[in-house]
Amino acid sequence: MKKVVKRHEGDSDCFNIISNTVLIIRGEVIITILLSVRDTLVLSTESNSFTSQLANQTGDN
Amino acid sequence: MIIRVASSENVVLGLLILAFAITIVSTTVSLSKVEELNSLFDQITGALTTNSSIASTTLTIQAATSVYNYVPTIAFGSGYVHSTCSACGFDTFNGTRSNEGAGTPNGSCCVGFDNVTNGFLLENVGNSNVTLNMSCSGHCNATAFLGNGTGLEFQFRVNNGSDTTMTNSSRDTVTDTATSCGPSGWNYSAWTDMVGNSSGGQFDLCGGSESTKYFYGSESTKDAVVVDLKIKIPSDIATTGGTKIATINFKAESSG
Repeated sequence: MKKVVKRHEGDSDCFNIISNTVLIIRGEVIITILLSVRDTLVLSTESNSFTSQLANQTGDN
Repeated sequence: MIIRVASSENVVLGLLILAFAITIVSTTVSLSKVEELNSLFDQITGALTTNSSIASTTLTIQAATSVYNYVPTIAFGSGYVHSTCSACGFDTFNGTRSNEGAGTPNGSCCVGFDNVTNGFLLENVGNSNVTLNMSCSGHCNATAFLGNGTGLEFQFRVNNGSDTTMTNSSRDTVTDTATSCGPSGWNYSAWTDMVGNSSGGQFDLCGGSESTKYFYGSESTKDAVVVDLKIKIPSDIATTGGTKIATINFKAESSG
């Protein structure tokens, strides 16, 4: 019995499917949020006040 | 003497007839044997056959799965919200904007931040259609990335590289003219909250379901996609300070 194997475009056996291929592509998002000007001013005021109180205490002594 | 000659001629004649008969029979037998061998020859390698056209040609086309990211890092730099504004908003398509992420570009509400106008630009530079998923690790949701505040946002959206009204894909090798994700386009084309991988944030950008698997094409005029990011930092932001990094992983999967 003669065995004839026909292959046509579109036949699934034309393609050798080995396994799925997975590729990972990486990206990064970077941000730095600083203290606002208002926050900085508040801290500065408190610092001055603290320094002033120390000076007064020193003067009292 | 005459009788002997006649007898001899008869013998010769008889022998000739016998020889002729043997020739006819042997020829017939030989021809039948040849016919039997004809079918046998079909099974012998190298034998010439009259009714066979078998030929074998082997061509192997290698499948290459390759997706390139032209913008590996999006750095917004460092800055703060101006004290006269309720918020600083910006995205990677429109650049730095004022209050709600709308209004005048480079508005005074965002102080110090870099004006970023390029989202992640991915191009399928292989020859295989793929499925593209996205996940995030590190400081992924708005609170983790920015801090605590009123109405803060850390979002993304995905659109075709061919859509110049929505994306900046000028680095694409060949300018796209059609959707790069199957016939229907990309999922998450509207702004969507970023969610970390550890909190279940697995986004099927293109071809996630079984029916649309491998929909991200490799044809040069439809192989680019842009993932833009959007940030909104309210004036009452309370941040722990320091640099925050969100790592985005795109997973491209082909059939082999």
